[in-house]
Amino acid sequence: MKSASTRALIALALGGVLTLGAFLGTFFWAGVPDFGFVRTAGRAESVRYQGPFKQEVAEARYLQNYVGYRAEVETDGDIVQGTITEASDDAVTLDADGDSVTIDAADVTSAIVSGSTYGRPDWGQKIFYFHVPVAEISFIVFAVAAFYSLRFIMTRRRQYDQKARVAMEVTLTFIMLTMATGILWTRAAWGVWWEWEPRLTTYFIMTLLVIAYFVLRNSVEDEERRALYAAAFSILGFIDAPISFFITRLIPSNHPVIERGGLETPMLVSFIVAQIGMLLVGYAIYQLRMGEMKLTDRIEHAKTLLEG
Amino acid sequence: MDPTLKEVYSLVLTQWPLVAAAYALLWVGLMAYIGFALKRMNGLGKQVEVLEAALARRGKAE
Amino acid sequence: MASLSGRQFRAMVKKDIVMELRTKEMIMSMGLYSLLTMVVYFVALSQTGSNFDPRDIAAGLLWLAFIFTSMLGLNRSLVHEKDQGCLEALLLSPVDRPVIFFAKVIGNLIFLLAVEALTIPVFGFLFLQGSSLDIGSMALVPLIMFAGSVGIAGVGTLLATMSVNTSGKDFVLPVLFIPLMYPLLLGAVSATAAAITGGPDAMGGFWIGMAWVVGYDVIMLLASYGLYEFIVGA
Repeated sequence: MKSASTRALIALALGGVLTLGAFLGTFFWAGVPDFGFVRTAGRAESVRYQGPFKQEVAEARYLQNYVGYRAEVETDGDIVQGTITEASDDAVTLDADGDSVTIDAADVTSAIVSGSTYGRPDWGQKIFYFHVPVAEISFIVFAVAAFYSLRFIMTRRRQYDQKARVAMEVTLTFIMLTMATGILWTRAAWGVWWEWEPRLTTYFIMTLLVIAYFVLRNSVEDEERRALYAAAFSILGFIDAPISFFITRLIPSNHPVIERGGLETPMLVSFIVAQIGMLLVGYAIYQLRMGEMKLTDRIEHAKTLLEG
Repeated sequence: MDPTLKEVYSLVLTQWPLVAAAYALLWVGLMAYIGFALKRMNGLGKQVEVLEAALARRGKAE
Repeated sequence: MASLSGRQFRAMVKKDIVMELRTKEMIMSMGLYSLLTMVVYFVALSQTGSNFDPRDIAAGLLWLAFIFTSMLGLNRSLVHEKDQGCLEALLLSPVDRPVIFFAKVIGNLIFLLAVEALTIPVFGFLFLQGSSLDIGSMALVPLIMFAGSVGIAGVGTLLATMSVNTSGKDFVLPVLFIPLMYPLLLGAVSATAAAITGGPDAMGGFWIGMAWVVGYDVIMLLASYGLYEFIVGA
């Protein structure tokens, strides 16, 4: 009965190498995508430089937003060029080649400010490379658990109950990891820790269902009955999983959806490797826990033999 | 840091602790789970060996 | 055979109703519970300002009352069956398991609908006085109430059958029931809110919510019906 733990160790080694590779790829190979753009007064060497910008400012009071920028201010036919050093509702002060010029806001007829535009790097996207694979594995393992529950109900063989239970444990682990990374990503991307948004809500419900599964198991004493009830509940509960998975495509939702061809090659490769690696890690954890179950069974068996 | 670059990377500067925390939680969570499982399995394996050796001895004795 | 199942089914539903008419325990406890919920709502809403419109949250409050009242009722009805050994006797008798399931579902559905029929007027009387209500669209509220109650009774009967045999009866039922009910509640509340708000724009929302609830009912009733046979004998 060495096979389960051997398989677990092989899967663990392979999965570890792949996830490590994906991790390195995520941070040292895949680029950082832009999230909108940012305008600055100065200019610095950066790959994100998108070029200069010139913008007409309609009202003088808006010049307050452009302190430090180059500006071209027109007053009754006279044009002053310089850097804005100070601006208020009433007046604006320009530094024109060393001379300080103050213009009343009322005199300004038009103004053009200029500076540099940069793409804003979205570092928080790095969470995606592992958050999405972990979430996908949680759905897959939940499906495995529901499948074994169905098999148990049909055959009443104890091994299927064990498999379903272990799969459910792995589901819970991966759901927790998804939740942890997801909450941090939500904070990075949306500025809030949690939002009652369709995907997040249905996934939260899934978490509660998996926890409820263990609550149910712990509150039934009879072994056969416990297995049956748990199997029935996991099949009922699994109905939420497809809802949670497809809801972002059905209902308008803030949660991003991966589109075909939406990723550059280094990002795509890192992401796919992370998916395969995480799948192997999930499989390894499953086999590890199954091996533990089998060892416990052998211990029980040996103990009854020794006592009897 | 150059003030212009500081402005450009302002989002990164607020996001990096969150990214670091996410990866730390992920790795620590997984490794702790696997570590505990492996350790438990080692203990159980030793127990099985002892018990089955005892069984084998008894089988010989009888 | 069909007529035999039909007679067994009617006999079992009749048994529940006769027992209820004798003791009046279910209706009394569920009705009182929903009245008490209204008191809690009043306290919860007592600090809202004058431009607060109770119609905005009426649908949510109503379904909240129904979901908690139904859990009380489901627990009671199955605890009775178990304590008096009725379920075991039924299982020994030559009655098909699906007949038992549907009789139990219909029994629970009848009590639930009775309590809802009492709760809605009381709720309207206590919270919706003075709000302008569209009678035409309000007439759709019973429809969604019925569709939602079918799902609650169907899944609830299965889960209550499980939870009465656990060590923490009162705690286990909500833990299992509320997350499973979430899709139904979402659809039911949106449809009810559309019906209460009224107006031509709301009708589309109502039928989407209604379709969602009916779809949930069909899937969950089929699943519960399929699983009941295995659960009840365990």
